[in-house]
Formats: sequence, C-alpha cells, structure tokens
Amino acid sequence: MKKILIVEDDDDYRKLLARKLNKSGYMTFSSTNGQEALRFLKKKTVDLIVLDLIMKKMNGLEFYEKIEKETNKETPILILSNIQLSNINELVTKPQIEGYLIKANTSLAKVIDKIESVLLN
Amino acid sequence: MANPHAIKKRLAGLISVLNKVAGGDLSQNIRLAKTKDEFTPLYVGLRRVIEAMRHQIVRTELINKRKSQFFTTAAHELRTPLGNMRWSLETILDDESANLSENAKIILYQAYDSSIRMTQLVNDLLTVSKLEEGYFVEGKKLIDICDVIRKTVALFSSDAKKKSVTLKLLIPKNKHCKRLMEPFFFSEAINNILSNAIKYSKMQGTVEIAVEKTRRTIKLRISDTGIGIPKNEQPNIFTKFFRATNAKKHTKQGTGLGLYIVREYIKKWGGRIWFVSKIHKGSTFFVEIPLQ
Ligand SMILES: Nc1ncnc2c1ncn2[C@@H]1O[C@H](COP(=O)(O)OP(=O)(O)O)[C@@H](O)[C@H]1O
Ligand SMILES: [Mg+2]
Repeated sequence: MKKILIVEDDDDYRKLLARKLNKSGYMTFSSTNGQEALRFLKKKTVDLIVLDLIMKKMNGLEFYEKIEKETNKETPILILSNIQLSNINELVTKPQIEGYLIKANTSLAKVIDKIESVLLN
Repeated sequence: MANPHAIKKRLAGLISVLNKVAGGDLSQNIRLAKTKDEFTPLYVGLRRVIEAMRHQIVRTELINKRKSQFFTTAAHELRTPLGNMRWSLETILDDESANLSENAKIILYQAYDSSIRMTQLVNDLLTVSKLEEGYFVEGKKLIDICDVIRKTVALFSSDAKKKSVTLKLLIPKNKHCKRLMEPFFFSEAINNILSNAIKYSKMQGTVEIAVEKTRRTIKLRISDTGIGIPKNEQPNIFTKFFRATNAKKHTKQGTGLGLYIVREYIKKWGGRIWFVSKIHKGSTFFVEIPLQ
C-alpha cells in the first residue's frame, strides 16, 4: 500500500483529502505544518507528499527548502494550495515538485488522478 | 547666441530629445551648458519632465505590484471556503453509505455545481481584471509547449471518462516545441478550450487534440463531436460573458469568459485563434502561435 503524507493546516481540507485517499487505497499520514512534517519524515518514509503552501509555523516553501538538507529524502511533492503564486512555473520545474494544483479548482477525483500519475512515474 | 546657425543646431538637438522622450525613451540625460543663455530654461524644463516621467513609471510599477498582490490574496481568501464547499459536497455525494434520497442528491448536486460555478467566476474575473489592467504578472520561461499540452490533457481524463468521451491526443513524438512564454497562462488557455470541448460534448463523443509543429509556428486543433455553435451566434463567442443559447440549455456551468481570456492570451503571444462549427455536429478550434 502506497503511503502519502498530507501537509495541510486546514482541518476540513486535510480530513476530506485523507478520507478520499484512504478510500482510493492509500495509507495516509498528516502534518499540520512544515515543521511537523520534517519531524515526521526524519523517522518515516512515504511515497508522496501533498503540500499546502500557506501554513503557520513553517509554510510549504520553507518546508521545501529544508526537506533535502534535513531529511535527505527525495520524495515527490504535489503542491495543493489555494494560492496561485506568480512563479508557479518555476516551482514545478524544481526537483521533487511534481505538480501544483489549486484546491478549489480541482475535484478530489482529479487530485487522485494526478497522484496516481505521479506515483506511476 | 546671435548666430542663427548655432540656434538651429541647438533646436534640432532639443527636438530630437523631445521626440525620443515622446517615444518612451527616458534614458536621455540632459546636460546643461556651462554658460547660461536663452536655451537654459528649456533644458532645465525638459530635464524636469523626464525626471517626473521616470518617477511616475516607478510609482505605477509599485501600484501594479500592490494590486497584483491584493488580487492574489483576495483570490486565495475567496477560494478557501469555495474549495471547502466543493470537496465537502463531492465527498457526501460520493459516499454510498450516506443513503441519500434521490431528491437530496439532486439538491446537493445543485449546490455542488454552484460551488464550481462560483469558483470559476472568481478565477475568470480575476484573470480578466489582470488582463485588462495590464499586469500580465507571470514571468516568461522557455517551455516545451508539447509537454504542457500533454500534462494539461492528462488532467481531463476523469472528466472525459464521466461522459464516456474518448480523448485523443495526437502529438509529435521527440519533437521539441520550445518557446518563451508564461507556462501557467498557456496551460490555462489550453484548459479553457479543452474544458469547453468536453463540456459541450454529448455522451460517447470524441475530443481530439492535434499538435503540429512547423518551422516557425505551433498549430493546435481541438475538435469535438458535441452540440456545436448556432451560426447566427458564432460571431459573439469571444465576447465577454456571452454564452450561446444551446450552450446555456446544455449546462449551467460556464461564465462566458473562457474564450475571451484565451483570445487575449493568444494575442499577447502574437498568435491567433479561430473555429469552425456546425450545430449538433461539433466544433473545431484552431490555434496558431509563432515560435518566434
Ligand atoms: N466546444 C464548443 N462547443 C460548442 N460551443 C462552444 C464550444 N466552445 C465554446 N462554445 C460556445 O462559446 C461560448 C463561450 O465560451 P466560453 O467563453 O468558454 O464560455 P463558457 O463559460 O460558457 O464555456 C460558450 O458559452 C458556447 O456557447
Ligand atoms: Mg468555457
């Protein structure tokens, strides 16, 4: 069973996504900010990270800056946020970052499609 | 300064600088002569005008940047509750154990559709105001157009499946279609055309995306076997908020802003978009973008 870490501070979004992922046959873990996620990844390994951007304590981009150095992990990351940064294009060409979806613009079914295709590669 | 020849020469110099400034070149540095004469106030004045214009440009850039940041934040704030609604409704509608009555399902679907429509409206209105206010904020990058198309098309597989629509992608293999452009805007443009093709498809239809690269241009053809566009309404479909009568009957989903946005983007890239369509038979949209 593939393992997915959801890094998301909004309880509703996190629970809805976890539920959908579980139903689709994935095992999920949750962190509510970048710091928690880093701590988690120092101990455990997952197949994919779903990453929100705007979070207190440590936001998604800060987390991304640190993941390589602090955990030595090259886990693929799917950014899932409601903010549409103007440098999306730069972000998605960076190592590990496999995509950038806007939550409100994307159905849960489409999120699953995307995750499946990332995990296939 | 009695020498008419000298006066003529200096006037010519001034006029040339003025013309450059009028043409938007503010890099002119006005040097003042060591000795004052009748021309000095003119030079001083011109120098002040150029400085004021430079200042204005810096200010405008700052204001645009602030506005753009405001839009980004406002959009985020609007999307957060809308997305929550969308995912919540999708979840309950997907949940077989919820045992919803048919009537409850219909009503929840209405709410679900409305949440999507509202989100689309928020997105489209933001894009339109950005386009019209003239701050095309995303940076340009050398991208592989074919690659962006492949990724965008892949995102539609579940939508197509839902309507049993066959999605065909004909794209040259191993060909690079590199161009300097805004990748997110480009995928948004493709997204708008493709979402129309699927949305206005009938069940079991076919949507075909063909990409052709010539030496100087990239050509896209997106065709569907859907509802088509009535002949008398065809001239209007790129107009803001316009939706054809048969489209409105077919689905409530739509803002009428999608094609307007697409055309504005394509214009900025120096390309063009056109279409042929036959009611009840289908539509084909053509896009041509120079690879510069
Ligand atoms: N593939 C298509 N098939 C039929 N009609 C289309 C198609 N694409 C666009 N149209 C027509 O053009 C109108 C404008 O398109 P668009 O700006 O994308 O608005 P909408 O939000 O309604 O999809 C649509 O409402 C529809 O009438
Ligand atoms: Mg549309």
